[in-house]
Amino acid sequence: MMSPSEPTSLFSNYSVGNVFFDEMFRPDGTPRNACKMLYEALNKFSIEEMQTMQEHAERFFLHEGITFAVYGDDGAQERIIPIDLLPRIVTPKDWRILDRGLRQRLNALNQFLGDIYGAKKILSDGIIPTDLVLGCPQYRPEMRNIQHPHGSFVSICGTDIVRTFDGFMVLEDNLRVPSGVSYMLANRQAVKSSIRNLFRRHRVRKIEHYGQALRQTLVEMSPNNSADPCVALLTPGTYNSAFYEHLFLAREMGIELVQGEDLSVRRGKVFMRTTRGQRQVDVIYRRVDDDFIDPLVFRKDSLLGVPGLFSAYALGNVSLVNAPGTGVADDKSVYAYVPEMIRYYLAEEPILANVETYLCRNPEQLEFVLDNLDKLVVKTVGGSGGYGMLVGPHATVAERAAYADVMRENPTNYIAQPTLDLSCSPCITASGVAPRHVDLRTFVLKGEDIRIVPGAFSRVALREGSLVVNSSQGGGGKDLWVLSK
Amino acid sequence: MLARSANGLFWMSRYLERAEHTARLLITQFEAMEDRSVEEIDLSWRRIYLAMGRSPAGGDLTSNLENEDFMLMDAYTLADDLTFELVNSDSIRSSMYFARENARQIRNVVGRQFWTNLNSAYLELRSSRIEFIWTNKPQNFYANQENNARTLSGYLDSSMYRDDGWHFLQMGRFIERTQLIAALLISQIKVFSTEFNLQDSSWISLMVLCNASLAYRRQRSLFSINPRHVLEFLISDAAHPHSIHYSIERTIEHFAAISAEEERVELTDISKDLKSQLRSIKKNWRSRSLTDVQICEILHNLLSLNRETYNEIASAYFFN
Repeated sequence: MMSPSEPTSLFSNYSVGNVFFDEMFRPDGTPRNACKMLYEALNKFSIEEMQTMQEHAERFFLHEGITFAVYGDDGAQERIIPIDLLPRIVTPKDWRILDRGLRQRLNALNQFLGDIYGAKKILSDGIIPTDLVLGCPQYRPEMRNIQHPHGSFVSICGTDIVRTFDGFMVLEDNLRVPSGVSYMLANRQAVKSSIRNLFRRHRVRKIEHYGQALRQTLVEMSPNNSADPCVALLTPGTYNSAFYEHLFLAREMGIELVQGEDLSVRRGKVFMRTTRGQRQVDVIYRRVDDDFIDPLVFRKDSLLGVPGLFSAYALGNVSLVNAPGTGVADDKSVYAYVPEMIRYYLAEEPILANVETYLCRNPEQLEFVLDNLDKLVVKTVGGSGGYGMLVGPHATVAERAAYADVMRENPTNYIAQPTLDLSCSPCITASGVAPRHVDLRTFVLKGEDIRIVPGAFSRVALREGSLVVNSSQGGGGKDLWVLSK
Repeated sequence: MLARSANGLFWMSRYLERAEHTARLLITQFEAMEDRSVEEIDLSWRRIYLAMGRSPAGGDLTSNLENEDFMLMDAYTLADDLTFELVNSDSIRSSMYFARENARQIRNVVGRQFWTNLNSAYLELRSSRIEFIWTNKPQNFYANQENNARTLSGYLDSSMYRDDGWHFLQMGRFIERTQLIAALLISQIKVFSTEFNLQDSSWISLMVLCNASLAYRRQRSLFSINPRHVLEFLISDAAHPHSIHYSIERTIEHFAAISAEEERVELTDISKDLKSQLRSIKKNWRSRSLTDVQICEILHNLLSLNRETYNEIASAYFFN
């Protein structure tokens, strides 16, 4: 372990190791070239000053109501996502790699979805096992042969990326209803107002136009090519953990935020209830899971959706963004085949690597996983948010044994990956600035074209040594600065 | 505008108006507690609770008028009930809570600055405790609450686009105001009566409650209070923003703006009903021969017409 050069009050206790890639420092403790100016400027602050700014930022989040879980009154459940004010820097060169890799990946994933709900060539050509796809709970037979404008089944993609000494790797693709973009924008706002001068000097690329880019994407998804379609955001309502984000995006885009009860389907078209009568809706950015969007087709007990919505969609009278059934492509077993999809559909080599993945549906791989549980992270194939996973190195012998029993009962439900050496970034803690593990969630849009706002929600595992960055597991966020050339 | 958003604006505005009104009731009540007789203070509490149609916590207000200490302790409980009790839909916290809950759902309509201010005001209120208020000057706390509610309404006045949403917001405000003032006047008459003019101070405080002191003073003299004149002013003055006449006229005005492009017969009927009610008020006050019972009857009719107006608006626009 080494210390950064010229230690000052803010970084005096900061230790840089050579086990994890540090986003700000080289292994010898000197700041990376792109981070030098930030490092020097931050060193002029004391830890107390940074902590005070951090408190102000947190108060700003609370008063703005930038909350993650909102369950009505009385604060305990009205939580803010903790913010860390120290930004994470990405160089123009690194961003170019990410940008190209993300475009490539989303193109392949959309072609995959068009294929498996159409001709199924990738299955008949034996690239991906047929039963893996058609047997996936997220595969929706109802989607067969439904066309989408511009082939965009996934218009909003939230890909999680980690960095190790080997470079960037895709941890997972979130292709259903990815959230977090509002926190990316809120973090930027908080950081900008706290360390304005620093921000100006760094020539950070702007992300504030995300709302416009999203609206343009949704407009392009209009089923009838209308230049001014009626677009609405469908939310499950105030009790949804991401309700703040739904409100935020509706406001940014200047569109209506609707709930299931606001919509109805008549003669195969979707209408929303307005004070001037019923108005036809052309595009619905739905933040309701597949299972709940239409009780006539999916879960019968759903009160969140709209009866008849799916048939209006199948008739081509309304676009649902993202399309139902996209979850099959972010299933953790299918994830393992994304590099093959890229080669198959695009005839290119993947720009961004996958994390090595063991499919427990394969008996040999299952045995390997069971023999090495203490070194692996095991996840359920349809899971998200860090729920239901086993972090082998941090689990007790008893916990691993219990998990192994459950895995044996239904091995197809599990995949395993090596414990990743997630990169670290300096964070403000109670005892000073210290390294914490980070990843980043990128947001990629696809209507007629692909749009990527140069930024991301950089998630932070706030607990010392923790590798779990998920907001639902107590993770926080920090601003990501993509520098201009 | 989305029907649910219109409903949210309407109710948010009603709750803000209610929070402001309850805060004003408490400011006046605490000012009275500094120098009024125990009996008068008790009657003022009674006026508040009758206006709300609510039984005070702990039961009968007049349980022990002889014991001043008991009365003050009781006031502590009553103030807590009117400030923090979530089950009491007229309490300040409850009103602010529901204003915030409505605003939360329509944050994309009301704008960020308004929401942030409302949220901050609510969070501050939620962290307050009656013990703290009691040991400091309570009027200051309630003045702050009144100020918060007014500032929030002011934000909307200065920033909202004048479309349907604005008209629904204003209708909510003035329908609520009509309701609050009519109920307050009924309870005033029941508790103090206009026929026995013994409690000048209670009529002065009524005008304070209705923001009418200055306006009344400019029209008439405050030195000789005539309860009938006070009532006449609060009911039929066309220029005072907290009179019933003014509130109904604004309701009609905003209602007309919304329904201008619509062919809704039933709504036109409501408008006619409201207008005829206004005419009738003017005519009745000209005669000046009404008994207290008759005045209360007029006010009760107004209250039911007000409720009917809301029901019609809700079924035509919010739940159509």
